[in-house]
Amino acid sequence: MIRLVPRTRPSLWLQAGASVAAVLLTLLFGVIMFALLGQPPFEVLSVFLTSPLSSAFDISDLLVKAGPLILIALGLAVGYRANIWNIGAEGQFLLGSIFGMGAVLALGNPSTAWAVPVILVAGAIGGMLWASIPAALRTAFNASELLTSLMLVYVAQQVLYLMVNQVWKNPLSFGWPETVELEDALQLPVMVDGTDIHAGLIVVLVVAAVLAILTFRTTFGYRMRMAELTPKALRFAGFGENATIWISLLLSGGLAGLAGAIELSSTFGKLNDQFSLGYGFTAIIVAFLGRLNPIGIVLGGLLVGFTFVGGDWIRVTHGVNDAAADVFQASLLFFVLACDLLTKYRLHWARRPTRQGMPAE
Amino acid sequence: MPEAPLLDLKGITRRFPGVLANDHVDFSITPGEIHALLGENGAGKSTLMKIIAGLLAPDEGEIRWQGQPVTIRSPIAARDLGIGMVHQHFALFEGLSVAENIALSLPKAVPGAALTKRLNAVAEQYGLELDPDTHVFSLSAGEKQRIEIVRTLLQDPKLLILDEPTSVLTPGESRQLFDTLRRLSDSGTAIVFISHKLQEVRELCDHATILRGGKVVADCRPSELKAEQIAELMLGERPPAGERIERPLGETRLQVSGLKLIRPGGAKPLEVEELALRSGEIVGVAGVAGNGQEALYRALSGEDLANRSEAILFGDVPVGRRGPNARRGLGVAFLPEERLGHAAVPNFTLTDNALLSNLIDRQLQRRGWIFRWRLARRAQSISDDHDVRHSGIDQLASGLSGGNLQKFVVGRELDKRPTCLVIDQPTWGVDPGAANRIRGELQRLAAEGAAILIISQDLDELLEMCDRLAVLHEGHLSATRPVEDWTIRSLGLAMTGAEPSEAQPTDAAPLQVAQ
Repeated sequence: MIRLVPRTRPSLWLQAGASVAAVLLTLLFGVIMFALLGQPPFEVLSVFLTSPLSSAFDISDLLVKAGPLILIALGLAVGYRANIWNIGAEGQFLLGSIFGMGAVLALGNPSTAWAVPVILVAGAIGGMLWASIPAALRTAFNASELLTSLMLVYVAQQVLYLMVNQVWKNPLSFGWPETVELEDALQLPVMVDGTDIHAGLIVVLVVAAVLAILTFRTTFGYRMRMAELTPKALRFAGFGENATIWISLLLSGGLAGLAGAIELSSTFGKLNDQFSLGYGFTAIIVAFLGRLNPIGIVLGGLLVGFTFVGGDWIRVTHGVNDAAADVFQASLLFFVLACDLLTKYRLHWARRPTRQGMPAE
Repeated sequence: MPEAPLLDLKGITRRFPGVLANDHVDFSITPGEIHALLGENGAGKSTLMKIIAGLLAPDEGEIRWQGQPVTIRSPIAARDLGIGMVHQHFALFEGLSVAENIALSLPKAVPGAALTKRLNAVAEQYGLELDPDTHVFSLSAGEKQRIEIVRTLLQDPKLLILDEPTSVLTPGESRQLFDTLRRLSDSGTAIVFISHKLQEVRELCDHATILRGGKVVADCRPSELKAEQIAELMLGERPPAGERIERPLGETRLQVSGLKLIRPGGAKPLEVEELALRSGEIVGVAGVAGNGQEALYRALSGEDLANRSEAILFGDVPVGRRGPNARRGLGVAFLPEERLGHAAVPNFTLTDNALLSNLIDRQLQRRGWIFRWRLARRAQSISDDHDVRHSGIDQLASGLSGGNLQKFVVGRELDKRPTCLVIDQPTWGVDPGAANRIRGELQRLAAEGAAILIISQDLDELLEMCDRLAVLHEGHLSATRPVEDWTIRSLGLAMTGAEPSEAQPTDAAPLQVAQ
């Protein structure tokens, strides 16, 4: 009988070891799976592992995909630490893009770069407003933000379809559900010539650094690290009970909205019905991959971006079907999270089942 | 008449990482025997009892039940043998009613009406009153423990294990429980009684096994030993005697008048007409769990706001409508009853927990920026000065034993040198060594001129420490009286709702002060 016994103190060596073990297990799993699918396993793996870093274009692709994931996950992690479960970042992301587009249209799609910050701020406000709905429902009626935030994703998707199919539909789009394109000046400047690496990624890094400092060095972060499960301790420390809920939802919603606006003024350049790519959901995984730690989230986002690009490559080069590529990507996340569990708990082989692992005295 | 043992343990050994919790422990109990298991926190009592109750497997050793070697694989197996355990920490479903919680613990489904009947019968027989339809979350710790006791008794156990059962009962209730236990013992039930209260053990138990550091250090008849001798066996050394310190009284530090506070769960509101503490004075609030202790603590600490600002004055500043940190700013410190989850955050390190009640301390934080190294130094000095044993200040609060964590959180408040301290259950569930230390520190703080309000359910503690006592019953706080004017009997009556004036000290037993 195996049971899990919590470790009183996690060790750094173990955490490093767990990451290495996760990669090795993923490779082993990949060899077996691709062999069973009749693919040359080592060849497919080598494409998966090397191509994302093989060219400037691939690296830029990786970074551009990791950017919104990291930005959204940074916000979510703040709430998750405090046991506030915003799983509706996808909706807040979409509202961010819609508000960003609204700002563009309200300003008359000017060809002036000073409007870019306005678009980004509008996006953040959109995400915050959308996230404030679950916050209000939770604080006023104790409705689970987990359910309300998720359901609002589907509402947000319909709002997006309404905007691109009707309200803001570009009359010159030959019937495609999309808005007009942003003027070139409104698009985030490209940082490295010949790639898609844009200024939005700097925003991502700045946010990560600021949150890392806030979390561990300030009383604000101290409050946010206190789980909502200890409301008495929050009151004891002199913090209001509902403030944690509002702060975490507004922060995660605002960053998701910001990510939406960045995508609008970089990769997409317009609003269309393809805008909901699932970044808001994948970011949940990124948040946990990074162990809810801002630095870890940057690394986790890069890892997931890597699997996106590697997955695209094996589809192209070996005709690995979409499902198999997705399974392989997911297996990496699975093994990372499983090994992470072992850094927090140790396995105990007991001769017979027991209920408790530690002396209670 | 030497009887064959009901349960006989030989050479029980159980290891945990870095700890030998039980080291070749022998333990045996005969039918009808009331057997005390004594020891400091961490001595291995709970581990041994968990092995008997099927919650833990021993690494080595033999268990015989009625002469037959057995392996107790699970709590259900233990229950089937006839072993019932009442835990110190409650295992109740907060959202369910009393009756539902009891029904869930029974091996077979029992129809509601029949269950209520059995429940009432047991409750009456043993004097453990319970309303079957109340939801558990609205009950006090004392009431929750009653559920645990009743539901174990419903299974007609041959061996009943009680882990600190009296820590939340009034003297009268304890006496009733002892009658119950004696009756159970007369009918042949063996009882293992774990307690920190040596007087009780001497009064109730036939035998005592004393554990220290996982080993049996003595098997004795507690009635033949003095409490000091037993304490010495438990601690391995004589506990330091609590000295009475002469304290001059100064100006009024805390004044409560006309305080009212709604309590959750339909309980009667908290009402305090008049309470005043002067510098150098220790005032105690006695009462059975669930009579408004937490509400009183929360009202004084600012975690709940009072009906009006003038209801609570610290010095001469009205603070009734101000939050905890505004009150701390006036030099007042607070410590709630619940260590983990209220006085400390379980998954925070000791360093982070050192900040919990110090967020206004400009040594540790300025404009929201935390000085980590100063905070670490503070955590270290709290640990060093208050004998907190841990493997480093980066250890999680949840990893510390109850006594050590309590020393840490008490130390955190004391190191602020507060002018007034409100402390709820300063030594609840703490081993005698740590409890003595904490009491000594509180007395020293008072001697330095602080006013201290102790809310406690431990009467011995209140009688030992306090200058004046008031009693909290159904939310109402009585007027204070000097401790010499109270007797165990008059206190017990007041705690159960009788008018204090009805109990004249003339016919009462002389005041018993522990240690």
